[in-house]
This record gives sequence, C-alpha cells and structure tokens, in this order.
Amino acid sequence: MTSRTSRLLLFALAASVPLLLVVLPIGNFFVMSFWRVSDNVIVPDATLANYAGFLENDAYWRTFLFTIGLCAAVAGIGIAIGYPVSYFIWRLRGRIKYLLLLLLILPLFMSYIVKIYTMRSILGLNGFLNKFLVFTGILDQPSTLFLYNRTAILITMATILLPFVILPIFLTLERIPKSLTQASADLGAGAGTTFWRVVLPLSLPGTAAGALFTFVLALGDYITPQMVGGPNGFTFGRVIWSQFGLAYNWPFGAALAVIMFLFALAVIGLAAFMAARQR
Amino acid sequence: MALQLEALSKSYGTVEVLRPIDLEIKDGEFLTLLGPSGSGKTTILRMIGGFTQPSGGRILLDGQDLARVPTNKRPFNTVFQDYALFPHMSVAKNVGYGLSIRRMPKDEIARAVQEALDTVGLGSFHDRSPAELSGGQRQRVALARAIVCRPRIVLLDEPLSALDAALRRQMQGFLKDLQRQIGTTFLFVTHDQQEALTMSDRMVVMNVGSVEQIGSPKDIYYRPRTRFVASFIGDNNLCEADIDADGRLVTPMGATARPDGVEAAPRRVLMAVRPELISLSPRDNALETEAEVLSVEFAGAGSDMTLRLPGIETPFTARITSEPGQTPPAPGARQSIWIRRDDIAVVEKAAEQAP
Repeated sequence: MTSRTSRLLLFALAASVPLLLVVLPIGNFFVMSFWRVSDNVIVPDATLANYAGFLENDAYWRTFLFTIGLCAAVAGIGIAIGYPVSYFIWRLRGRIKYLLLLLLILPLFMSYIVKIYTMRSILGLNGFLNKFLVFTGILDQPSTLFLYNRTAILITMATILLPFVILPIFLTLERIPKSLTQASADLGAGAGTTFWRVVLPLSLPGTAAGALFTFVLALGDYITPQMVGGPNGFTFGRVIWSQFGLAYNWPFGAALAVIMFLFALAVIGLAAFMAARQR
Repeated sequence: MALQLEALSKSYGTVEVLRPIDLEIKDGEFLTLLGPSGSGKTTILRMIGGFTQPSGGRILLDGQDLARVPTNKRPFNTVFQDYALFPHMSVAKNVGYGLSIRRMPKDEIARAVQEALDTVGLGSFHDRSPAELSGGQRQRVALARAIVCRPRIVLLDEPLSALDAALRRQMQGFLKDLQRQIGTTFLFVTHDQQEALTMSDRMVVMNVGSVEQIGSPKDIYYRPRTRFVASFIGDNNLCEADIDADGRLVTPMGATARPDGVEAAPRRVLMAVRPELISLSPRDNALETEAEVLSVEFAGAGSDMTLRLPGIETPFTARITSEPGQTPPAPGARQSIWIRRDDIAVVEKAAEQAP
C-alpha cells in the first residue's frame, strides 16, 4: 500500500465519525423537513409547506422569538452571576481557589434530571427558597411565583448552565499573565482601573464563549421548560418536541428544528466574525 | 541620597531568601544587582517596586518609609522580564497608559508618547500591536513605557535575558546611553556578569540571599573580596597564601610586599590572579616562577595556556595574545612567568562565610 492510499484511508476513517454521527443525522432532518404527512404517514416530497406553516402561524414565531429572548436572558443572568464569581475565584490564592472552582463545576458530573428535580424542590411552594424568604420576613407567605412559569425556566436554566459560563471565563482570566496586572499597577493604576482597562478586555473572549455556550444550550433545552415551565412556559424546544411526540408530524418538527439550528449557527458565526474583527 | 534599603529582608516561612541588606542607591546612577538564580536579586527589585512585601527592614525614598505606599503610588516604573505589554492596546496606548491614568490631556500624552518612542528609536510604531513586534522592539516599547512617566527609578528585571546574543549586546549599549541621556536612576537585575561589567556605574554581587560585594565594575573585577566574587566574575586563578608577621604576602611563588589596601594582620588568605595578567615576559615588581606547560588551547583572539606552578595544586590558566606566526610552547615545556604584585587580588578567607 502506498503512503498516498494509506493516508486517504486514514482520512476516510477519521472523517467517517463526524460524518456518520453528525452530518448524516442533520442532513436526514434537513431532507425530512421538505416532506409531508398525509393520514399519519410520512410522504417523501419536496414541499416548502412546513416552512410556510411556521411563517404563517404567528403562534410559532412568537414562541420562537420568546424563546430567543428567554435564552438571551439566561445567558445574560449567567454572565451577571458567573463573571463576578469567576473573578473572585481567580483572585484567590492557593488550594482554595481550585477547590472552589471544582465545587462550582461539580454539577456537570450530575444527572440532568436530578438537577431539575433539585431545582423544583428548591423553587416549589414548600421549597427552600420560599422557606428562606418567609423565615427572613421578606415574604409573608410562600409564593407560587417561582415554579411552573417563565420565571422558573429562567432561574432553573441559569442555575444549571452556570458552570458553562464560569469555566470559560475562569480559563481566560487564568491566561492573563500576572505581569500585566502588575505592570498596570506599576504604571499607576488602582485595582479598579486595572480591572476595567486590562482584565475585563482580556477576558472578553472567554465571557463571549460562556454566553454563547449558555445561549445555545438553553435554546435546545426542552426538558427544563417542560419540568418547571408549566402551561405558560411554552418554548420552541417544547414545540419541536410536541411535533415529534404528540402531533406525529415529523416533517414539520424537522423544519422547526432546522430553523432553530440555522439560527444557532448564525449566532455562533456572528460571534466568530466579531471575534475575528477584534483581532 | 535617593533610595535607601535598611536591613531589608525576605523570608517565605522558614526559608530566608534575602538576608538583611543595607544599600544606598544614588540619584542618577546605573546600579546592577548581579547574582545567580536564587541569590535574592529579583526579590530586592520586587520589594522596591511594591510587588512583594518585605519580611523585615525598611525602604526609604528621600528619608520617607515606603512601607505603606502601594505599587501604584510609588514613583518607580518597571521593565518586566517578559515586557508585560498589554496585548489589546497599540504601542502608543501602551506607552501612554501611565500618563492617561494621571489624567494628562490627550494632546500632551500624544506628545510625550512620541518623544518617548523617538528616544527608543520606534518613532513610527504607534499603531502597531505588540504582537507585530520583534523581541527587541517589544523591549524598547517596554522601556519607553517605563521612562515616559519620568519615574525616580527605572527598575529593570533581567530585561535582556530573552534576546539573542547580538541583539543583547546592542541593547546593552543602548540602555547605557539612554540612562546617561535621561539621567534617571536605573536599577538593573541580571545574572549575566558581562552585562553587569559593561553597563554599571556600581554593582552589587549577590549569592544565596546575601551581598558579597558592592563596588564599581573595575573594583569588583580586579579587587574581589570573597571567593565567590573572585570565581563568579570572569576567570580567576586561586590559591592559598599568607600574610606573615611582617605584613608581607607569602605565596607559593615567593614573598612580596602586600598589595595596597590589604590589612597587615598575619593570617591565611586566598590570592587571585586573572589569566590575562600572567605575563610570559619579565615585569617589574613581580613574582617570578618557572611553570610546566600542561596544554595550550587556541581560542581566536588569545590562547589559554594551562600551567602547573610549583607548590600549587590546581593548575593556573594564563591567557596570552595569539600572533599568526607564533609557535606556542609545547606541552611539557618549562615556561617562566611573571605576576605583578599589584595584579594579585587578596581575598579574605574570613569573608567567605559558609551559607
């Protein structure tokens, strides 16, 4: 066997994994999105009816826009909480630093379902949050505001996805050489100025990555809305799921999935473009 | 009197990285801290800069204790070993950083930055990003950034160690000229003795956390006071000798009047002779002996001759000038050598305290 053919073979082997596991299923969906359902039977066709159906029914794209807003809010809350947390962990010294970090990303090793049930038990009427608020006198009686509505989705997603924000931010902070903050102080800057002019700009890439992770993960999540969202918390993920599970309209579900997929790609592409321009 | 260190020391737990040191840094001088790694030289620099807290002693600027003055309020600027240029700022923004923090008007900053960049020979580099610069250029930007705020002292933490040999030589001359031109005090840390000898007005030789000797490069080179200094700086031939009851220096090559500045008290000492100060022709006021040639090594500008001297265990090296037509003595030959009395450095044995 010549080295050329062996190299080709190696390439084919390496390429086959993403091809089989990623490109093929997505391609399958993409093709199916042009099919249709007739009398509970999927008919291979080449129709744009599914996409037209999405655009014509404002309930769908309202849900779509609401979901985008929700996920953006999840990412925003994630950054608002995750950045300060990452920063303060980064400023710590010694073993406690990595211990705390480990503690914060520990939920990544836990089952998703367990985490959602945990959040439910915290947010519920007899949950920890209500007990705490009543105990401290902030509320007179337990509130139903925290579960089975949109707020619940927001809180739960932001909490569960927090490690995905903290980790990339912490990593970019760690990559900032100590000498840079020292040089800033050496040139006369106080801690605040050093943060605004050196640390924050240099940690933006990780922050953007964290926001993006969170946004895209939240976009695709249909279990959390289902478990804590109640009747009001209808997200696009749930709509897609219902097309497969309840309505048995796979082609329409596929079309909706393609729309969401393209949107996520566009967001990631935009972020990559902006990152490239900054450099 | 500008900056004074009084019994300044540093320990980490039980490890003493710097023993109490007293040092005075004069206004406008180029002072070098020279020593191998672990000698404590960088620790001194970092304590002056305010990056490391002293464990004991004081740092006084014009008599004022700096203990409670944080880094950003000290009138010193540092050139870091890795240059520490802000990667997200242009060259001009880097250099102007300190001035913008002092809220200087924009046009004045621009002028000062231009002047500083001109001084380091990078007048047209404003808009470049640090990533686009070579090592030597980054070095110059770091230097411009450090001098633009007109600090009382510029602290330089081995800034040349990352450069290749040719560029390093060039930067040494440049730094020295720059320092003379702006008249600012430079405190320079290096492990490179050549660099220290070339650039310094005065140098502090350090080893394992304490000062071995402070003096001008010539002093340090020709009048080492400890065995460490004698062997760390340049090449040296060392052997034991005595000061006798008459105050004469008794060497294995014979006795001679003791060199200037050496105490008369009878004791055992070390004598040090530079290889290039051993002469193959008769000199006045010199010790003379006949040595056995062990080997001769041609090294371009000179030849290193290894000699066995009567009564001295370790062979001596003599550096003699090479001439194209010359045939050096063959190994095994007898060779008369002369060492001038004034070329002998007397090193106190007591001064070589065990760490």
